[in-house]
Amino acid sequence: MNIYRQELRMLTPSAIYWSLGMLVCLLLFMLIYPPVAADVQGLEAVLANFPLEMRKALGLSSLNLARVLEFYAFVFLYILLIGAVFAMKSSLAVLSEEARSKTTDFLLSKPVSRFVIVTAKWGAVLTALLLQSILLILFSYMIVRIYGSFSSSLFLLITLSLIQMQLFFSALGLFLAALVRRMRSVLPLALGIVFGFFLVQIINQSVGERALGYITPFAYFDPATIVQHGAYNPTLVIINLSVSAVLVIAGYMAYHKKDFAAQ
Amino acid sequence: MNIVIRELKANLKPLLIWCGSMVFLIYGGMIKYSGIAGAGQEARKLFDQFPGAFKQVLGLGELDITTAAGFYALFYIYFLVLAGVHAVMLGTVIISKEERDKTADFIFVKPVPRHQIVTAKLAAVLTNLLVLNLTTLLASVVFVNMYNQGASISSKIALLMVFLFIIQLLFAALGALVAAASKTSKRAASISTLILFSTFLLSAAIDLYPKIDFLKFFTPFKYFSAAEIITRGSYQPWMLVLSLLLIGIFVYLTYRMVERRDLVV
Repeated sequence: MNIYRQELRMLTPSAIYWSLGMLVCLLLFMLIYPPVAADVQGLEAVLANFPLEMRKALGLSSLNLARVLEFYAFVFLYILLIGAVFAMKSSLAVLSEEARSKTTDFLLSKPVSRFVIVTAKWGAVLTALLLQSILLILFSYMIVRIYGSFSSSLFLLITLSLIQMQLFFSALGLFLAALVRRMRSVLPLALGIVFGFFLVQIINQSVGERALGYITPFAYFDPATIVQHGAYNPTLVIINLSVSAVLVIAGYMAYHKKDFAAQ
Repeated sequence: MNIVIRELKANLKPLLIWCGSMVFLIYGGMIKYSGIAGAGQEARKLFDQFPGAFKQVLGLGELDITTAAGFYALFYIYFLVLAGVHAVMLGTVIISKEERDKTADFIFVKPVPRHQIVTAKLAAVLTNLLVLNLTTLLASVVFVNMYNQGASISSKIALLMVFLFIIQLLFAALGALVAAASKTSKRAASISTLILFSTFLLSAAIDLYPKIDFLKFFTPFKYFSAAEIITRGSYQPWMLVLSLLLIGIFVYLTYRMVERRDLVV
């Protein structure tokens, strides 16, 4: 419990900054919503003639940016990007920080099992992510509400995809941190991996290549698709949960057997 | 020289991974193109009917994305993003890592002046950026030629790569400056990330709402329009001047700040 509390305390400032970053991003995009909506309405008629293939390639397949919630869904892709980096980074950091600050022997010689250590550390990350989502739901609801009315349940579906995607990235972070012997820098690694998955989604968005969609969580929770169907794709939600679970279990096992360098 | 070699070795593995991802991205992008090219002639006809303003909104300008050249230009922004992430992080880490790894007292007591250490590190950065750039060039030329049925666009791609390299330099110099100016390595990485995200999001916002185009001076992702380079082979010279000027200022400030830095040991 002490480990949990300590980690949570250390995570708090960055969790606050990153949540603020998401909200600022949303706020700034919402500022250009009214003029964009006006523009789009005039073009909607033209767009209808567009072959579907082409619209897909341009990422315009389903979103009507004149509607406030669909504009929100468009912006939410970027919020997901920020959230994913935060989840990955926090998860990588909590488990690799001891090696960097040379405190591994201090922690591991305490009368707690490694299992408890990982649980406490990763639990702290999950807590931070959960609080972040709650914060985001509250504030973004208020922000978007200013610009028009929308279906609250769809709003929740879109916004709740954040925590599910973060679950994947924090699980991946846990796994990598447990696996790699010495991790020198966390943020560059997190950025590289998350942007990699993001770009795979950009490619996937238009190829319509199913197989590619299975390898990136950005496709599991594509806001445009959620708006289109008004629901998650149950298969993809289950895939996300199971892949995350496998990563977490593998992470626990790797950490359990990890050979730590003495300092 | 020893420092350069040391840094090159330390960055070899990440560099290989970055190059691999870049090749994969280009390959994936061109597969996607083959799908669009398949949609073919009638799509193009429809496309030509669109009013100019509408194409502008789509970020296409005068691009014809049914040609390999037009499509490549549309995709160029993502090469910029990937190369930008790489460059800004490389620049940040290479300058700030000695203090993070507690090796600052090791390297800075060597009989080498600080500016020489910075020069060596920047030389290593330059090499890394160049390797990634040439890999991108090579992969682009190969994969584009594979799917391109029209005239060869290899020379245009080469021109785009020159601008990619300038943006890489700009981000690396920015990262180095942030590292030199920040108290800790951790904070440096956060600030660099913040800058990267803000510029990326700003460029997305400009695409969405072209009337805020004047903000493009703040985001390197918008300094050079791939559409303009591909269709007319021209670019805005003052943007080139601005980028080179910024690179010069950032590098100069990096030297100055590292020289005067109060090292934490």
